Parts: sequence; C-alpha cells; structure tokens
Amino acid sequence: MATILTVDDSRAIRALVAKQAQSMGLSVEEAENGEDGLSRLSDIKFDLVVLDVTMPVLDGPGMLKKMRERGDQTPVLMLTSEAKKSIIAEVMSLGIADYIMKPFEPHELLQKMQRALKIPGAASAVQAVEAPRPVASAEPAASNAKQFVDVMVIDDMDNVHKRVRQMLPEHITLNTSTSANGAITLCRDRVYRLLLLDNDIPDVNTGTLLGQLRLLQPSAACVALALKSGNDLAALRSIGFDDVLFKPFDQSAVDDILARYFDKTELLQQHDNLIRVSKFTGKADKSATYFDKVTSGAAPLLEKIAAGCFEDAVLDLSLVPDDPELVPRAVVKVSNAAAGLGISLKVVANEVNRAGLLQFVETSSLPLFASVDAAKSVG
Amino acid sequence: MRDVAAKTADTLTQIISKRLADNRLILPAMPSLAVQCHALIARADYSVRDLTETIGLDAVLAARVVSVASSPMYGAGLVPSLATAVTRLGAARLREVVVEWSAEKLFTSPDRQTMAYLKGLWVHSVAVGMVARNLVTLCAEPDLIDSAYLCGLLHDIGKAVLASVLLVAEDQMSSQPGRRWMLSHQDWLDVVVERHRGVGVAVARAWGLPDELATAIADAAEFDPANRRGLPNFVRLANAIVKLEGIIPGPVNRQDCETMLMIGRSMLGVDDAIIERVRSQIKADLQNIESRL
Repeated sequence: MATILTVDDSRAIRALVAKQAQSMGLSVEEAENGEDGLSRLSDIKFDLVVLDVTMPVLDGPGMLKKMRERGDQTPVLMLTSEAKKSIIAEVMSLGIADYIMKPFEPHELLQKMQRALKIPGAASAVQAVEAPRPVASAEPAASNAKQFVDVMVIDDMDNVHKRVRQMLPEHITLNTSTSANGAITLCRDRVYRLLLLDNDIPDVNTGTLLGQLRLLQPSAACVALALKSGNDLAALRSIGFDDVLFKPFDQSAVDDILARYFDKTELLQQHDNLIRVSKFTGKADKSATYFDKVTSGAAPLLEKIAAGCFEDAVLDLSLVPDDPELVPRAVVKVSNAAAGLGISLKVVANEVNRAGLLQFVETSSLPLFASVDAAKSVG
Repeated sequence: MRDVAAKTADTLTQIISKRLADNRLILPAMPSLAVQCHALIARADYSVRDLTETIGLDAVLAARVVSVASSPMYGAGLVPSLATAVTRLGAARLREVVVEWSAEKLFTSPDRQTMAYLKGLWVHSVAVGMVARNLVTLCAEPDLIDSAYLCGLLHDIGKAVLASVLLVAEDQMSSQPGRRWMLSHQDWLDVVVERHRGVGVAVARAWGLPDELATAIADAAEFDPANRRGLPNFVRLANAIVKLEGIIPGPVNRQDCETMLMIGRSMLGVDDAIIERVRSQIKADLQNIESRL
C-alpha cells in the first residue's frame, strides 16, 4: 500500500489531504512543518510528499532543498497559496511532480495525487471546471457528475424550440437556449449528443460559436438549422457543421437526423463512476433482450470504473421500463460483476422498480436512490 | 562601444519613463475612423447603414471586414456587400476587427530589422488572443469570451509603440537621422522588453479600452491570486503557452514559461487535456494567422 506524507502547518489541510488519500486506499502520515517532515522521511520511505510552502520552523522550499541534497527523490506535490513565480520556479528547479494552489477543489488534489503516484485512471478528459471554492466549506459537497442530455437547440426564436420538441420522440431529452452565452453555460455541466444551432442568430458569429461549442462538446454532432434559400449542405459543412436541418422543419427530415445520430446510440453510457442506461424504445416482447444487453454491456464499464479507483459505481436505471422481475435479475448480475471487481453498486431507479428491487433478497440490501445526485451525495 | 550603447540605452529608458510619468509621452492615437466606429457600435440600436457608411470610408478597413465575414469561420460563402458583412459579424466581432485593424498599423517600422521583429510580434499577439479566447471557452466563462481575444491581442502593444518611440528618439540624438548606430539590436530589444508595459497601459487608456486590458498589460509577469479566473490571468497563461510553442520573436525563457504554465493550470483550474487541446489548436490556427499578414 502506498504511503504519503502531508506536510502543512494547517491541521484542516492535513485532514483533507488524508481524507483524499485514504479514499484512494493510501496510508497517510502527517507533519506540521519542514523539520518534522524531514524527520518522518528519515524513518519511513514515502511514495509521495504533499508539501506546503509557508510554514514555521522550516518552510517548504527549505525542506525540499534538504531532501534533494541528501539524495531523497521522493515525488513532491506542492500544495500552497503561494503563486509568486520566483518561489515556484525555485521549487520547480529542485524537482516537483506538480503544483496545486489553495483554495483548491478536492478533485484536483485527487487527480494530481493519482498522477504523481502513477495510478491509472487519473482523469485526462477535458472538463470545464468550476471556479475554486474555499476548502473549509460548510456546504455539503455538491455533485459534480455531468448530466447527459440528448439534444440542445440554440435558436433565438422560442417557437423553434417548441417545434423541435413537438417533433422529437418523448424519450429524447432536450435543452434549449436563445443565446450564445446561454448555450456555452449549459455546455459547462452537461454532455450533449446532438447540437442544433441556428446559423442566423443576430449578433452572433455562427462559425465562432460553432468552434466554441465543439471545444466544449467534442463528441457532439453539430447540425445547422437554416433556411433552404441561400444555404446548402456543402457551404455549411465548410464552416464546420456535420449536417443541416432546413426550416421550416419537416418530420421526415427530423426523423432522418435522429436515425443518423441516434441509431448508433450505445445502450449504456459511462462517465466517471456513473453508468446510465438508455430508455427502451422497442416492443414489449424485446425487453428481455434489452436487459440482457444491459448486463453484458455493464461488465466492461465496471472494469473501467474499477480501474479509475472508484470505490463504487452508480447504475442509473431511471429510464428503464417497469419490470418487477427483469429489473432485479439484471441488477443482481451487475451487482455480482461489481463485487467481483471490488466495487460496490448503488442503483438509481423509479419508485416502481425500487419497490421491485426491495422484494428480492439479493437486491434488497443494495443502496437504492431516486436520483443520480442523491446517489452521488452519499459517500 | 559597448559601454556607450549601454549608457545610451539607460538614458533612453529614463527619458521614456519620465515622459510617461509626466504624461508627456506622445502616444499614437486610435485612428479617428476607429473612434467613430466604436461610438456607433456602442449604441444598442446601432444602424447598420451608418456603420457601413463609416467603415466604407477606409478601403482597407472595409476590405478587412468583408474578408473576415467571408472567411469560413464567420459565415457561409462570400459576402456580397459590406452591409451584409457588417450584419453577419455583429457588434462584438466588428469591435474586434476595428481594434485589430487599428493596432496592426502600430506593428510597422521603416527600419528593416525592427519591422522583422514587429511582424513576429504581431503573429505572437494574434496567437495569444486566439489562445486566450479558446481557454475561456474551454473553461466555460462565457462572459469573458468577447474580451478575451482583444486582451490577448493587445497585451504587447507597448512594445510596438515603444519600438517607434525609440527610433524617433535615436534619430533625434543622432547627427545622421535614419541611421541606426547607438543601439545594437539586442540593446534596443532589452529597452523595449524592459519598458513596454507602462507604454502599453498608457495606450490602452488613451484608446479607451477596458480596464482589464490595461491590467493584463501592466503586469503580465505574475498571476493575480485575488482574481483567479479573471481575464488578465487567462491572458498570462495564454502568453506562456504561445511562447512555449516558440511563437515569439527573440529568445524565450523556457523556465519562466514552464513556471507560469505550472501555476496557471492550478490558478485557473485548467487540466492537461485542455492545455493539449489549446496547443494543438494553435498549430492549426497558425497557418491562418500567417496567411493574413
């Protein structure tokens, strides 16, 4: 088991670092200044030192310098409110693995410790991160799970939004925005599959906005909403669109777009430790096949979650059909697969399916939730 | 000879600092046409016709507006008229184009060596603008997007202005105007790099540009922890990234840039994937930038 040393004159910071490290299955020792830290390093071989800069007795740079002078190459992660270039340059010249500025988000500490310890699963996906909040916060940790939404319509006309909603099947989730800024803000916390963007919003450069949306949603398809006159697919493709839906909308054209971008839909989507199961849209007699696909598809995703050092997986069954028999059977299989990987399973389901799960011995003890946020807020 | 050059550089530096402090440094004014355009754009209900007529008074500016509006980034296909271009670009982008047009005029010099430097500096400035805009986009700060490009573009404007000021000062001190003799190119560069910030801030204020731009110019050397996700910090990080890609005339202090990158990543909450995305985008954008020169 890897061991880390946290060196900081703040007990709150040491406790926070310890908590994050222990959540990764690491053991932790603490020191409240550089001298104390050097003394611990003499006794025990550590895998990582998380080191503050400003401390009494012996500060961080002083401790780091002495470590290096005596040949100690233990990786060091600087965790400090210091942002002066000269000081950071000094510690960088002595060799540090990374730097975190206080106040910081816990997930930044987690990611950088994972990377410094070369633990697989250190997050490398592009994320729009929130502005850092103070570490010692009385608020409960908010869920930072990204919400999956199928479609976003960006058009300055509300009636376009309404029309699109009417033409999409009910199970397709939809967000709308009348402005570029609104669209970008929505992209921050959500993952979209399809973006429908009006190519003639007043005072908005379509090409620029399209570029910005693509940066934020690299896996989303971008379809232009355009008038037929004066626009053609080739021209719209040249500015970066994947496709076009001409106004006024035709139901068959909308169905074509859906078939093109949703037929390839995977039944299961995974993000961090969340596995979301898509809605069943087939005939009732095909539901057993649907649940078989859920259980077989979940296994490789659970492996990814385990490799990401998550302790638990959240299985989101909010959209699955009500079935008092097939749902518990599927959950038992997924739960067993999770247990085999050393991770526990939380299940999100509607009221009917939760009641069904409570009826079975094998599933009645599983943590059951009404929403993903509720599941994620419980440690 | 080296001592003479060093003393001359010191003298020029002191002259410039004093003139700045006394508000006597003659700064380039924003072209009057640009001032008129800004005044029109600032109105919430600006008239496309009035703006089109004003922009049309300068053939180069008009051609720039049409060219930008016709480029793949900003519309579908060639724009048939200036009025269409004005409508297509919208207020925020028009403001950018007008300021960009005004600023680019400053990055020129009759001296060949200076011109080569300023050309490289212009490419660097445009790259920093683009990277700053991409960073705020990826960090989902929509309120900063409109200003990010201009702040990045103009962060080194003081160098361009100071380059001209120094040439004029050197001419005045020389018995042979037009002939560079007192300062070696390196000495000249040292003065420009050392003293440009005060000049840049003065230009930003004289042109009525946003305060955050003046802040980004005034102290690009250190991040501001009090305003972590402020625009000046994004510009500082963008500057370091662009320099590390080698898009800067003159030598690069890599250790300095690596330190800024290390601090900036945490300061702004930017992970390595975002940095990589932005870096790969620079390479794609660089061809565009150079083709516009």
